[in-house]
Amino acid sequence: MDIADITATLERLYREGHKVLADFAEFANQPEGADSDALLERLHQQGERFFSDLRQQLQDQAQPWIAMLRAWAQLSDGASPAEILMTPMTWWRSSAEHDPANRESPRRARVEAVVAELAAARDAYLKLLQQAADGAVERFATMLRSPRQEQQNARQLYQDWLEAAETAYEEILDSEDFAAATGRLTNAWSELLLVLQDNLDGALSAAGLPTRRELSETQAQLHELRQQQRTRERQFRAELDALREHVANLTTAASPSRSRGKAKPAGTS
Amino acid sequence: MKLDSAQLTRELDEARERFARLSAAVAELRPYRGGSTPREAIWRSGTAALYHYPASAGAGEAPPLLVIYSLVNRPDILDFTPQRSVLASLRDAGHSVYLLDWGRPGPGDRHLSLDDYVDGLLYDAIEQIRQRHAGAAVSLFGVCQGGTLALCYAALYPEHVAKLVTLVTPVDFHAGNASLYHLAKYVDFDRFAAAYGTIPASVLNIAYVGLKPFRILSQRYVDMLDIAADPAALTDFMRMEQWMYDSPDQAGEAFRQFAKHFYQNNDLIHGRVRLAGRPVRLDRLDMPVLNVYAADDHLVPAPSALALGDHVPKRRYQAVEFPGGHLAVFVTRRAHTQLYPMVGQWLRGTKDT
Repeated sequence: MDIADITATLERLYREGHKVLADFAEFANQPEGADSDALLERLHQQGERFFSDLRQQLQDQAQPWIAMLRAWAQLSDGASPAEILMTPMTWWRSSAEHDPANRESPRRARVEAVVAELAAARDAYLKLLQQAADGAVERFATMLRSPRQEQQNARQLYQDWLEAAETAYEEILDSEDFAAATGRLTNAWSELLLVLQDNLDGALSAAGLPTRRELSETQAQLHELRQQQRTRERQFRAELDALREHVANLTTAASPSRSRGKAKPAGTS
Repeated sequence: MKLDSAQLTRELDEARERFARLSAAVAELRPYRGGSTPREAIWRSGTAALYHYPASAGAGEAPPLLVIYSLVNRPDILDFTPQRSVLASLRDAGHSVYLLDWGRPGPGDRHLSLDDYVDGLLYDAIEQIRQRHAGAAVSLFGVCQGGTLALCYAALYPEHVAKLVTLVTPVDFHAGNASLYHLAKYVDFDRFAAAYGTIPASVLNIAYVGLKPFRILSQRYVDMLDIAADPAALTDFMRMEQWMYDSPDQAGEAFRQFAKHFYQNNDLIHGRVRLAGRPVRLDRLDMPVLNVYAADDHLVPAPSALALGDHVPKRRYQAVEFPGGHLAVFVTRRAHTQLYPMVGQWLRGTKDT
């Protein structure tokens, strides 16, 4: 753990601490005479903002890769290395966009299929999270309306909110739909990365540079050599142990006569 | 319900004040630089290292003890503070303790497989220890996923293992509230590992945090405000915080195998895992086995750990429940005053359960 690690930890602590304080403020900053309905409405709005931001964040995360893939897919199969390598820097170029032949190319179709699946998987996943958020507000509302809920302590209110949110989230988390949505989103990301790597390998290969696949094959060969070395070392050790045991047995077998010999010095028969 | 805005504002001001005090206090803390128990690196191979924690003088004749930790976190939690150190507790119980630290796989380690971990690094580490102890069998203390790897090793080479302790170790990956299995159920791990190569720790952390997001990302920091004026508690909080996010990346092939064969297919309890060219059969575990599980573990549910009892010979098997969650077995006072002295005695053969 070095100074960079503790700096990262401190940054996270400040960030999460401030976030919690901001959440807490949602409960504490109530206008005079406000009632719990107003608080629930604010939580609803906060949830909507959160999911809208999250959707945007997920879109932004994938956007550069998708743009690069689309640009690559616009090139014909016979594109020159220079064209392929320069493509990532010319995302704005849309000359081939309107070429019907190009739009139907298998490469482009594959990219569009991956992009469409990623968007659909992301939306299905977020829809379930949104359901969890709605469920949390409903649960919290029930808690607030229960007769035992008379205290007006912000900390207690916040604790109740966390409990409601966690319970609602766990209901979704345990559902088969959520497992399927998580798998679908993860698989869609994997496919995007794999298509990206295929294209990148194509570009590197066109420029005569080592590709990711070649690097991985070299690593696999190295790994195999290490395994072979380990097997041989183990065989060598086993042979050495067997040899030692054999020598020890010979020594034991020889020692009575030797000791008899010592007990009876030469020429004393 | 009407809300008292004046009181709520007072509380918010107080929370802000505490946070400011806490921020100033943590800024003064020094970086945590790993465990405090003296140790010596006696062997290295690739990313892995084998550390020795010598027994106290006059410790007696207990077999050497190898601690095997999970691949997904760092073993620093086992030497958390001088007062709460699993490794020091085991050493103080009279064992010559060894720790196999798997290290941090880099991009070049993507092809490391479970065979490499169990039949390679673990096998070689045990050979190193046996050579230092005149060929004696070694007791194994496997923690979490490290416990699963220890089970595999002990099933393949029972003659090398004197006794086996598994701590919060998953065995039946579908038993209980199996949240990790549930998340992994529909993931295509062949494609996942192919896409990432070496699996980034940040990706796995998202999955772990996603199991309890409100507890980990909100509740922890609300509770943190309560310890703003307690430097010792704050230091422990920061150490835990550092440890939680200090996860190594994962070798893609080993990760793929573990996720697919152990989590998705539950192959371990069905005898379908193959390592070193042989099936891993838990019924070959003929050495004494002590299985310690946590009652409220959300990562390794109690039924998942307890399933071990259904697959090993009953005669020499014991299970012990510890109250609390997954981390309680490492850092609570109770673990260090009750659990580890008991485990130490069991390993020395002076206590049955």
